[in-house]
Amino acid sequence: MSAQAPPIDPAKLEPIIERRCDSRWPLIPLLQDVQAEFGYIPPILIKRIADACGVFPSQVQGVISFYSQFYTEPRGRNIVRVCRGTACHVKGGRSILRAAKDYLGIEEDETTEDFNFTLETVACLGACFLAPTMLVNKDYYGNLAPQRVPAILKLYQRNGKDEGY
Amino acid sequence: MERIPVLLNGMEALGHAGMTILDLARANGVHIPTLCHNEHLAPIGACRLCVVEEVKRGALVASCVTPITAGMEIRTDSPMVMRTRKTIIKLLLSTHPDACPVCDKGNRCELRGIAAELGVGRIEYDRIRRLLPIREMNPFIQRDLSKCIMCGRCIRACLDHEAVGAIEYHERGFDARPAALGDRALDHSECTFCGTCVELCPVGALSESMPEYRAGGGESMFSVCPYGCIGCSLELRVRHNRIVAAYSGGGGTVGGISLCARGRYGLDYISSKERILKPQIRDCGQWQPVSWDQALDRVRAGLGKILDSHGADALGVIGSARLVNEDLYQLQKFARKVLKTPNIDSSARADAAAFHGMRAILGAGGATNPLDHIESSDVILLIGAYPLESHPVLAQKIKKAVRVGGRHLVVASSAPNSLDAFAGTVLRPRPNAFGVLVRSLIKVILQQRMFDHDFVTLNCRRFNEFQAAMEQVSLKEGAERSSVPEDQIARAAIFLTACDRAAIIFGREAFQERDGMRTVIDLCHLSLLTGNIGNIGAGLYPLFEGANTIGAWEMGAVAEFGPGAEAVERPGLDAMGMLRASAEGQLRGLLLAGPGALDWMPGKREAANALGNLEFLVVQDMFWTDAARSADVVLPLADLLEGSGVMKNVDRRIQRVRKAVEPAGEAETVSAAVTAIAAGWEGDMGPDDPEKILSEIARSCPGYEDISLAGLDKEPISRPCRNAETACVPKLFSNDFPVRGFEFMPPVSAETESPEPSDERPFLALEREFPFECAGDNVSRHSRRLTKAGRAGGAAIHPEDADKYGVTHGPARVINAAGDEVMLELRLDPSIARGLLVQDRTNGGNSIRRLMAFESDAATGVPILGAVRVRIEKG
Repeated sequence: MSAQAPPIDPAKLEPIIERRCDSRWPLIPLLQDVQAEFGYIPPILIKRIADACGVFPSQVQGVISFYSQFYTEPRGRNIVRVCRGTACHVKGGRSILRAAKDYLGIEEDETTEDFNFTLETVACLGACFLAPTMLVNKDYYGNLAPQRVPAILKLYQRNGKDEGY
Repeated sequence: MERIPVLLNGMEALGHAGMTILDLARANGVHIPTLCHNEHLAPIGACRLCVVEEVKRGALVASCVTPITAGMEIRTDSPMVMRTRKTIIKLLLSTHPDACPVCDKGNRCELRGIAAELGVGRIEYDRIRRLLPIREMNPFIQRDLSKCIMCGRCIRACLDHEAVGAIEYHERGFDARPAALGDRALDHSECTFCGTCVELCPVGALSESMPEYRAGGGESMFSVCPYGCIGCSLELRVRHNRIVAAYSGGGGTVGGISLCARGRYGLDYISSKERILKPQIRDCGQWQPVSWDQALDRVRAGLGKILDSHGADALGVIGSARLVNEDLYQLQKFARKVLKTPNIDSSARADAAAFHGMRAILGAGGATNPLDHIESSDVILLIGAYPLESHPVLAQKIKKAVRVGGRHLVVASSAPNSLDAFAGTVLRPRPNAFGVLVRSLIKVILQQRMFDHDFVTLNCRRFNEFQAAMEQVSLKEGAERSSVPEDQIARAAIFLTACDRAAIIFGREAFQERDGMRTVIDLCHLSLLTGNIGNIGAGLYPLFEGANTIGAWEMGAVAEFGPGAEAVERPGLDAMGMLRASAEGQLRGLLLAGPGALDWMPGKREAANALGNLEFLVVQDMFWTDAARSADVVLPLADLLEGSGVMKNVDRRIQRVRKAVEPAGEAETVSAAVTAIAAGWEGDMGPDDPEKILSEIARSCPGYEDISLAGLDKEPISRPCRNAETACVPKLFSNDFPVRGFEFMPPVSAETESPEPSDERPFLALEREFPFECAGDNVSRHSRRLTKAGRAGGAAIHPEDADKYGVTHGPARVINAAGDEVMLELRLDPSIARGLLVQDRTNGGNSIRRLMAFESDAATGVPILGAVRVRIEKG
């Protein structure tokens, strides 16, 4: 376990730029590709992205910070999203969140030290009939009880059911 | 143009296509309050305060972004409109801190003004506080974003107007704010501290960093920036005889709303504690403050003794290009009529190559077109200059042309240029090879027959001779010697010829190298060959060092010219010639008048030796310079903004410099000082009154016939201009030239080779301007805020060179062939080419100019200030 963010390879940016920069409005698709590649948008790449798109770096940052689904900090390999919608709340969603926090040892919007998990909450997962629910990467878990949470998350430990990004 | 009828508040109003409702209302004298709108920026409709009611639809629209259509019916003051405006202001105020009594913006706050205008009283909404820290790490700009109303003026100014891009919107919703990359402090961002955002901020979110320079309560007056040759208009705020703030004055005549850090924040040198306040006499090595009368008696005695024993030719006068025309005119009159010596010169000598070169081909030294035309050029060739540091307001026009206008910029400079990021083509010639590069460009254009045939045959003489002489020039050799590959030269040549309008902007590096005057002549040739004289967006722009270089030449404060830039019968010694003569004992008495009279010169010991060898030296300056310290009498000098007069900027605009503050201590202008000296001799200098001197200038200098202070009050006058009746056609030439009016000057001699690298001195040392020190004079070194922001004088080399020659970052000794050395702070920078040492240009004692040979061109007499061979040792 280390607190160091996984190192990134800036060279991987070049093929993305090559692929995207011909289009008329390349910036947002390019940023999405960068996030798919690195898991987040490393701030040190902003200048190169700006040069490639012919805009100022501050403008690229403005776009990134406007959209909540662009991230500038490294995130875990697995994204845990606990539903905090009305139906889940009534069915005890808060205790699911607490169980996840306890198991991972982090707060909301934080990432574990080994960059295995990032914990988030969402307003509704659209699966109210399964309340309380939780989404790990692309897997839904419904009708949850706090006791089940550790076992589910254990599946996603490294070498387990690791989805990558 | 098609007229569009609109019913505005029940009245018939006529507009035209492209007008917004706001434009129409303002044209018809109907007031609509605005916050985010500014006439110099593109409208974005962010604040919605300018809403008006479109009666037919019953809708509220933002008038600043809604174009008018025929038959529109607009009400600007209906109850719905007024209610909405009030709500907007109340919402803005509900998050605005109650800091008004101590806010720098004070009564200039637009939010407060509009709230009063709309009669907003108590705010019934809950207060939400935005608690954001005040950021104050630089000496110029303070940001208190808790006061920000998100009008976006600063962001648009930074992105679209200045093309700096330091700040942009960051985050979203209530958290949104203008921020630099990484939300860092401004001094760690791209910010150049031009201060345009501060000037445009409608509230107190952006203000001057140091409280003593805040503008609240000051009185307003208009003048001209004393830094550099662009001559930006300034609106100065003066409080208790001190300039506290400088603004552009909302789009003055030169520079628009742009200023640079020096003009906006660097004028505090005027109130510097280091100013010389009283005349001083040196007695037995001790400086004694004395009265003006005592000092003048001493000056007359000292100069008179030499006059009696050795004659007038043993005396000399050197002025500064940082003086107004009146001072320069009186100074040359003092030299020629009172002292009766032909030895008069000024620091405008540093620009001699550019002035004489342009005069030889085009008939006048100075930009052929107004500075604003740069924005409409298709292609801009920037050669031998670092304008982002040396002439930032000109650089702003280049950047805007590239970023907003999509123009192509070709940059040619020896050291990495801050404008490289904006350039489509970057040429990196070796130092001292700009002439070779320009001739290679001409060669390609002639060889490929890309020149403007019609223009050349119609307007130019001796073209065939020129073309034949250019046969001698080898492109291959040119590419080798300039170390710019042939294909890059060809690429630049294609850009220059394949467009309608190309502007050529050239600077110190190009014209101060050896044979610099020839380089300027060839740049004129290049402009003629491409048919770029006489068009809007074309032309040639020299970047002079002195604020009033053209004035110095035209007033005759130079060796070869009398008033009106007419050749004198018996030219005297130029500035460097005077120092040589003094070292040889021929020249015995010298008067130095004005800031930076000698600072531009090369050489370490020559100036000091020459000054030390003088029998009598008088210096009139604002600060204790090396020359002042070795003087016999020192007279306190009033600054440009402490006196009044006229100056001529680089695009030939004669502008009025108005007195902003009373002179510090007993400081006097140069014209007052020389008039007082002459008075004791019963020499006739005429009255010492700016108005009367100017009318004398008008009588004796062609081009100034109808110049008077009253005439300059409203706006500057451009001279020479195409024809005198249309004084405001500032373009020097139009398409109606005299037929075959230009004459080519075929190259004559073989080019001299620049010194080859040697093992003993492996580095070529050159200068690159520094944004917080004005290279044309020595006063910016006394500005509190500029010096706090950074000191020039450091130098950069490539890290591999550092390894190879066993030096590292930190203090280092730089040594030339003669064994002279300067100490400077070395840093490692991989962007610098191998074999170069690039110094942040300074006027301090550690300038690498001190290592250049004290040399001027044998034929033309222009000083040579090119790169110099050095070695570096650990300090």
